[in-house]
Amino acid sequence: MLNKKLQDFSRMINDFTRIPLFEEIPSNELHSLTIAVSSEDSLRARVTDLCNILDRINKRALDQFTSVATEGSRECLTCLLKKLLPNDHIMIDQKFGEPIGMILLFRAYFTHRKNRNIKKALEFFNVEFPINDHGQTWEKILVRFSESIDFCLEMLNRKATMVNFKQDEIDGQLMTILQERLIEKYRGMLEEANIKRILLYIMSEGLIIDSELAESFQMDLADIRALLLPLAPNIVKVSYYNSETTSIKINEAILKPLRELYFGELVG
Amino acid sequence: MITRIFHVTDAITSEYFLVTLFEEVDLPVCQHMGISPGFKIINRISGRVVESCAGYRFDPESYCESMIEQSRKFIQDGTADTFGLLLSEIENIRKLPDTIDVEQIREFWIKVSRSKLVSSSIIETISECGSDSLVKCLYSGGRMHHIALIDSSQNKVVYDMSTTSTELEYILPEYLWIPVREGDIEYLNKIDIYPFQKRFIKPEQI
Repeated sequence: MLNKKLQDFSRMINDFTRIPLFEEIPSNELHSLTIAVSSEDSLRARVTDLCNILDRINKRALDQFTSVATEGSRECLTCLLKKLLPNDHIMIDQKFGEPIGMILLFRAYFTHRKNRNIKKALEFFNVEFPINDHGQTWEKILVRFSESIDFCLEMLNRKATMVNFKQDEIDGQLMTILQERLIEKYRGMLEEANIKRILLYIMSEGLIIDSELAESFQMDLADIRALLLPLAPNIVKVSYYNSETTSIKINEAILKPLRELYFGELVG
Repeated sequence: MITRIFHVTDAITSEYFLVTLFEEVDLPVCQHMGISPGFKIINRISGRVVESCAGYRFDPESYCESMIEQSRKFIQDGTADTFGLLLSEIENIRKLPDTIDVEQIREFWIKVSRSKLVSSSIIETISECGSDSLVKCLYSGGRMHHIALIDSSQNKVVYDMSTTSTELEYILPEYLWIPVREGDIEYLNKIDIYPFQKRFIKPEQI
């Protein structure tokens, strides 16, 4: 199972970077991870194999990919994941960097047992010092390692399948929001019968001189300007025409939702 | 980069800091932003109040290094405002692309949220004085053109806005749409509207 996960991880890294994760697949070490642990010697052998797997990664090529001269396999892989997943650095540190670091630290248990960092690693894996149950300890280490690889697979999978908003979708969504806000802001006025009639008339004409509009609705020029003034310039666009009159048209940016408001009602 | 939340306490305070540190792996993006790995952004968060600063070192005893000296106020900026609008409406920032072009939204925003055709200060003046007693006029004084409102009951100028002559055509729609009657030229000539030489402009002269 873990063997399969590591192969999947290796394949995904290769997909993203075009660099094989391992210089040479550590088949023997991968196979040995499944061997049962019953003594300190066998625990040491499994932990060494696990660390050897990590040490066999294609560090030089991966460092070139990340442009960071890392100091070890853990830092190399952490940097690689951060480069591939720039928005998930905290999780990468917590769910990958830390467990892998603890496994590498745990290796010293067999050589520098008095090293105080060993205690930190044992606490991380919830193992008591000195170790009595070697089989169970190995299982705990394997579970944390397996979880780290699961995390990487999940995050890389998410990146591979993530459907981001495209620029035109963002533009469209925000424009719709701004249009809706504007309609809501003026809804009360837009639904007044006389204003609705005038705006529908302007819509049908496209562009109209204000004096002609006043004449069409048998209103004084000053009155129709006063009536439409609160809607200018966001709903109706008023422009210079000559020294006494102005031209009026519906703001093109609001034309579509305004049509929906008026003609949607009619259809409904 | 690494981002961490720190709870910093002493005998009487309890504060939360969100710290982002740029690392070697962020070098390409650092280069675009004009910073180097090691750069830190510090946010002190208390409810909805956030204070921010950024730099490499924050030693209060060194010149211009303290957090206060390295903090900047957010300035009014259309790009930032548009990005703010975007962040308000799209919850899942994971779904946003790394590069966002806000130009089209900015242009659109301007089209649907322009200021009033007739400025708010003119509308306020009209509502304060009442449209019956007010008259409007367009005049030039020196090189500037002005829109003025006069309270005819007191023969007093209650509003005066200047504009450059090149904008005369631009301001004419606003002038025409001011919802008060236009002042009679003989009446206006009696008003001390401008301390220097003045010349009333009738729109039909333009």
